Amino acid sequence: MPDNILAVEGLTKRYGDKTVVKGISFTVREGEVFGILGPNGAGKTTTLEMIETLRPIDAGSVVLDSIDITRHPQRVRQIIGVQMQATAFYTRVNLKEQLHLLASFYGRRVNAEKLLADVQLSDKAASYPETLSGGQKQRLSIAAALVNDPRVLFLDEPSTGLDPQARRHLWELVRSIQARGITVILTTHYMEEAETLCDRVAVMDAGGIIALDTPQKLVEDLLAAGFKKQVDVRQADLEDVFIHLTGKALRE
Amino acid sequence: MNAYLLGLLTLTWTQVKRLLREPFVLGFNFALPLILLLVGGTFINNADLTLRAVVLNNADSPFAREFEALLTEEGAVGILSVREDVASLDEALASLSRGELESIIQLPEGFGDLDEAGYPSGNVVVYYEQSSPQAGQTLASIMQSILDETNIAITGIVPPLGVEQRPTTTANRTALDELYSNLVLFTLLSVGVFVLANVLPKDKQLGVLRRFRVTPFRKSQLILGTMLTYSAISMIAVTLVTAAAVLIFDLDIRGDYLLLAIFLLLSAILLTGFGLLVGALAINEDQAAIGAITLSIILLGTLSLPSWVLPDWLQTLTDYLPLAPIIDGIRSIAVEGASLVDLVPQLAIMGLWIAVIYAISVRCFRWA
Repeated sequence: MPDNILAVEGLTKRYGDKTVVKGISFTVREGEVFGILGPNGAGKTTTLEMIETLRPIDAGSVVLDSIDITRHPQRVRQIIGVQMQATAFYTRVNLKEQLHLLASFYGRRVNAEKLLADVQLSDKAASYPETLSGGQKQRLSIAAALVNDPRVLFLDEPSTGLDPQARRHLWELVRSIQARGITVILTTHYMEEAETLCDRVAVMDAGGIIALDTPQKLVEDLLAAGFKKQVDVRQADLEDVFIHLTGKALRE
Repeated sequence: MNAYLLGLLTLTWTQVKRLLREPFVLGFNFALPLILLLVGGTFINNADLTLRAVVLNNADSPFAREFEALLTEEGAVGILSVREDVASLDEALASLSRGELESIIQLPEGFGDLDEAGYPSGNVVVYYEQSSPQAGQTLASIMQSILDETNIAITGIVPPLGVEQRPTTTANRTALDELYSNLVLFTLLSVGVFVLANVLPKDKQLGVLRRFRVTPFRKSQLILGTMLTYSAISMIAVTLVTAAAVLIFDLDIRGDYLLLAIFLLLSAILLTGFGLLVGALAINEDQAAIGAITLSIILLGTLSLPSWVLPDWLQTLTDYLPLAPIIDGIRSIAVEGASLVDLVPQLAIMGLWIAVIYAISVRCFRWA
């Protein structure tokens, strides 16, 4: 059984009288893809941002790779990669330059061409981020999060705004990142994404975790509780129609 | 190279490239000062002092006719440019009010008629706009000079007492020197304050700096890197202005070029500090624009009034505001050939401002 790379205990965040993250606790195993699933306003992004050291923690503790993030935030920043919900890069700086810049913050020099090839952006190396499509920006954002060869990669709603083809290619990319031994922690409100990608899922709502297990186990538990879904057996759905008509290859 | 330096220098180089690719920066900070220099320098080179006047002869004496011929002969009265297409006083007054003339010289009825002693007599009347008396008074003075010489020639009598004028050249400051100093200041201000105050809040709003926050990149690296970036851009811009002024208009930099470069670099660092302060405090581009304009008006306003109109305490205060030592230092080096020792007072004031402004900027800076 892999060791836990992340241990969150009683994590809390308050804004005035409102508690948006209510003392949640969970662990993440090294090498797994861990999902935090929930509706908008559930506290997913706030949770992630506290672990990423972007927001101060009001109560609780977070230990990442044996480092207390409150006491040693700079050490944590050295070993994590973050893809944020709203991607933002300097304008008029091309993709290669962006990656070299971010790598320099870790004291590293990076093979930008290889990184861009990994995310299928080789042909855009000399382009500016402001000229990229939404899907391309997300892939650039992931490449940027990998410049320091992180131990843990955080993805905040990575497929929001992507068309079905781009979403599926993004999933393949996440799987390839996991295959390199990088632990991935992502937030999503797409059920299929959580089911397809995640080894385990924490379901969040109103600031708390209401369930945590593998997607399969969660579904089995629901069925065991007597849930019956109205099943419409179809060999394909509308997303399949779209992909069949437009082609599976990434066209961006 | 250690991680801190690598991040700092890579950020600086990346930002310099980024700004040099921005059409706004190229136009506003490089092209505009050069255009202003070319236009202003051309006017300065071609400027000559002429007074446009009309001569109206309402007298019919031979003396009056000779006097009129003297005034209208080209080059006879060096600075006078006489228009001959105006025939009446009313027409001439209308031209004067429209700014087409500086003055009207009228030889009134009876001018030049012989007096009891047999000498031509009478007064030349010089009309001028009351709102701009300098030209008319200059012309009246010239007319008086001519008539004094004429009186001596006619009567043979030299007045025993008089006034001799001697212009001084202690300042030795030409119009081109003034233009150059002001353009350099404008360039430093536009890069260090306006551009930076515009770019930094925009980057914050977009979330670019927040992206940096999740890396080991430090606030001090961002502040220092930004200072280096905008100082470098400022130096490129002022180098272009200086080169153009020297090569095209023969501007004479009487001081040491290296000293001028170092002084301009310190000036750029100081003004970049103000841009950082505005960028640190503003939460969006609109606030940044208002802050940059307000700050510039306040700083430039202290230079636009002649110091002698201000009360003593305000004169002293303006001497310690940031732009005063900058403009003083540029003029001292470029015009008077000042040395490093001569600049100690200016450098001390600037050093103090740099320390204060950067301390406040670092304290107030937020990543998002």
